[in-house]
Amino acid sequence: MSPTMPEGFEFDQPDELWLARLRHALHSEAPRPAADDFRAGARLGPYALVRRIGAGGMGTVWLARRADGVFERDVAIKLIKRGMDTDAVVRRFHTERHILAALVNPNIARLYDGGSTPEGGPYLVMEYVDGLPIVDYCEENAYDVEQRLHLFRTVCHAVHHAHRHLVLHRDLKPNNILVTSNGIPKLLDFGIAKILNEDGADASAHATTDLRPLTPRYASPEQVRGERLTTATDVYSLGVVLYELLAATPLYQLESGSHLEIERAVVAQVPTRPSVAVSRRGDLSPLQRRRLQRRLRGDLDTIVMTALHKDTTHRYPSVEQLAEDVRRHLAGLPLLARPAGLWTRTISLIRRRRVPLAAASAGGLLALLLATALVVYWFIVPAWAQNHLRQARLTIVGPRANQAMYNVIFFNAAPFRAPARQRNTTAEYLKTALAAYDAALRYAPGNTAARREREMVLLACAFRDDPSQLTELTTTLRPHLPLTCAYAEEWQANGQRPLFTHAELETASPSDLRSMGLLALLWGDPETVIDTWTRLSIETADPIVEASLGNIYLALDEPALAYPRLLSAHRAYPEAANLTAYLADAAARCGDIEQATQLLADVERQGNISDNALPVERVRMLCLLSQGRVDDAVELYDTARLGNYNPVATAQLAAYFERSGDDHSALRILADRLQAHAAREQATAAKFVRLMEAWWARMAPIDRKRLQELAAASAPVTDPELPRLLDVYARTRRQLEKYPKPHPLGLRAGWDKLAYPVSAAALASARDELSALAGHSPP
Amino acid sequence: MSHDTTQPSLLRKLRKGADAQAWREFEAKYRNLVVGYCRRRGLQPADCDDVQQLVWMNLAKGLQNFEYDPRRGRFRDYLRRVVRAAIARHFSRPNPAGRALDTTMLAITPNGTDEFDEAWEAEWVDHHYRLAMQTVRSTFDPRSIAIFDRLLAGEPVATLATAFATTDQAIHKIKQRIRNRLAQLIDRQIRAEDGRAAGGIPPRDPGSIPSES
Repeated sequence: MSPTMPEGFEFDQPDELWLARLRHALHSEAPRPAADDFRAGARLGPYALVRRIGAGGMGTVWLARRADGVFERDVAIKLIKRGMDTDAVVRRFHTERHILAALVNPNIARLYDGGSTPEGGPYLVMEYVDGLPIVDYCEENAYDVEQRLHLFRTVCHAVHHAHRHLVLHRDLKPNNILVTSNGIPKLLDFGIAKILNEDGADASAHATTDLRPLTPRYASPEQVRGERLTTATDVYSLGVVLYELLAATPLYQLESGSHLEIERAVVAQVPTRPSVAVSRRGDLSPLQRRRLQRRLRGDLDTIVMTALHKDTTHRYPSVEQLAEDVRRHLAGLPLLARPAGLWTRTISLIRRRRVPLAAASAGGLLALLLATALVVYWFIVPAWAQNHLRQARLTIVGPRANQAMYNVIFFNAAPFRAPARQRNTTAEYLKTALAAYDAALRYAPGNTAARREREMVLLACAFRDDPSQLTELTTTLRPHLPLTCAYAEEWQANGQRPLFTHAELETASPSDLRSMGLLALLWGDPETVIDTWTRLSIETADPIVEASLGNIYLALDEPALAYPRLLSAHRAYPEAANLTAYLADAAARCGDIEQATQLLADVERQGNISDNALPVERVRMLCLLSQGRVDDAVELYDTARLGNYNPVATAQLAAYFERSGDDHSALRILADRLQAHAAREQATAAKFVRLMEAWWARMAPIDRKRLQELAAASAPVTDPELPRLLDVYARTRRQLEKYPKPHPLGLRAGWDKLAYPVSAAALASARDELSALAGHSPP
Repeated sequence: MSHDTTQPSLLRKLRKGADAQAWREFEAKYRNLVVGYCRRRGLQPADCDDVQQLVWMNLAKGLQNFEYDPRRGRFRDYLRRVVRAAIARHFSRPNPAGRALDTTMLAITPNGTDEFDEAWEAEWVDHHYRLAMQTVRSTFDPRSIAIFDRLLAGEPVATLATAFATTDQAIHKIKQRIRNRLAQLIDRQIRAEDGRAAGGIPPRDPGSIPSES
């Protein structure tokens, strides 16, 4: 062997040995990127590749067009580069497919399809997003700060949606957040996303990892340090994006801009606050600069700096909270992440206003006066505004509003179609809300959210009282709230709820959706509230939205859907007794008696236990029923006179008896209610009639025959209740035919459904026989 | 690919930080070695990739404070320490519940230090074979490569001679030429890696290699 022959390579061994060694080395080679050899025009299934729009470590992305005559659509196709399609990469690709398939959100690029290339490599067909990176989009469209914040919140909701599906994006940056020409942001590139554990940390066994070197500009400190990643990582990256959106300057001023310099800055350097950073911008006039600085100082600085905190424990724990603070800022509410108390803020305020300490000691009184004025202006006035706004909102989601919604679903009686007495109650609470909004806006005239809410209350009043005012209002509002105005006009013109297409709702601005939902709430149109606000509330925790949706779901007897929303509203307005009571209702219906009892005790502490508008006694009754204490429940029902004023209590108690097989008790309490309140109780009437017919149909033929014979002979029956039930049945049956068609949501709530259904034919024959029996029955 | 760049000079470029080309070159060269070693240690592919990221990051950070000095040790030993530290780090992150148990067990069960070092050495040999074979493929004539590939696949010399209408001796000669070239390239690669001047080894068969550029 030559003295320079490398050791351990077996070149000095027989040929078979070094050949075997070489063969082993080549076979154990890890995948290596190879040239991409797909060409424009190539076909993949029904898709024709048009041009390459991107290339990454292991794959390329092509713009392609579906052109098989079925329909034409531009799509993005993601391919694995040839030579990269090893098991690991293919598995990673499938992971992305699973991730995307689970993430259906209007702001996340959709996965349409997947397939195999002729060589057997996998490919993904995704929504093609023709848009600009979010920062460029805002610059090009000269978006103001508020518009940028709204757009950013939508992005936050999409990221939070991914987090809720236990997916971490890990590569959020403007280039992965494109905004389409109609202003819809779309999240792209889950290629390096990670699937999280339930506790929100990455689960590396299922990880898909990027093969390219780190691009650290948007990477979090923990990412750069190679530590374990959580949702806080995406919070950080969103913080960088928000920084660039607001300050329009890079986060760090660097000399070389090298990876290592950025990484060092990411780990160690505290970034300049956005309000300070804008002073570097040469593209603004001094006046514009000052204006922008004023706009960013305070809340927005705090939000950005909290999101960008180096230490994850000081960062927003979730994207939801980041979005919530942006929302709070937009709504003029105090932030969750407010770092300092009143005193510190005052001091920093004085410092910011450059009131020198020397002057303070020299002209002490003047400075004190100035400071007091500033404190009043900065803290007390906003607090007044907040109080009034809170009052207004609490009225909007108050017990009257909830009662109105129950009336719609239960009795098909919208507030403006309801009897005069109910209409007046509605008008009263709207007027109270309006006064509170006026007061709030006097102190905080710049609060757009409050202004929009007030306009909706005005619209709701106008519909009932003054149609000409409605036209006037919609004309002013149309540029800002096109869909809401269309909704108001359509209903005014045709007297029914307009149906918007999915696309119309998807593309509506959050402010438009929020306003339309509010108007629908005030008008008693729960379907539109659900349509608009479930979209809006995918990730938000807007208490009005949450409280109203929670109440509607309760009215629809879907307590599991109602509970989380009411919980969120209760957290925002813990002092609102009605929200506490509804939350207790949801808990009781979900079977959590302990929680429900606890919440009822809270209502009692709030001193509202006697308010009949609150479902306190009814929830107590539900708790007793759940505990099997039926006699106590019935006693409560009687002593609290629930049967007199609470149709829902009647329905729930009847449903309980029906489920227990005690048809007789169910029929008795329904009949009581119907005798006392004959008019307009469609749900109670339907339930009673159905139950009566089912009871008859289920009776043994011999007993039925005996009763018919007794009736024919006008002989008294042993059951003293039967003549009364038959009488109520005959009257209710006739009345039921006069009622308008039940509200679609009432049908969905299933108030008239039977616990143990019987066939339609049996019910029809029962109807005839019962009617005949009622005709013969002794008075 | 410039395999002749000495490791110290490549590392110096990396030290400067801004040189993206240097990183690409470094990654192209060493990715397989790192990932291959992780696989030998029984890590799952996703973990291999994570470790590799960690290695790059640690190298980038390490090179800020430390200049690799060939006189103080071989580069492969330095890289081995970085990789082993990265594996240990990767699996010492809290809450490994999300990771498949077998990977964790294989990675953290100490079967003896020597075993891990042996695995590294074996992977390092493979790594140089692969690098050298890459150069050979791009420089030899396609016919020789085709013959050599079939030899590697285990086909007998006689069959190949018939298939390529040549003699057994010619086939043997191609094999020897490639062997000598591989040995020469590997020697050069190792010298470059350790920062020593590139030297040649006298090939066993001093015949010329006309198709090599």
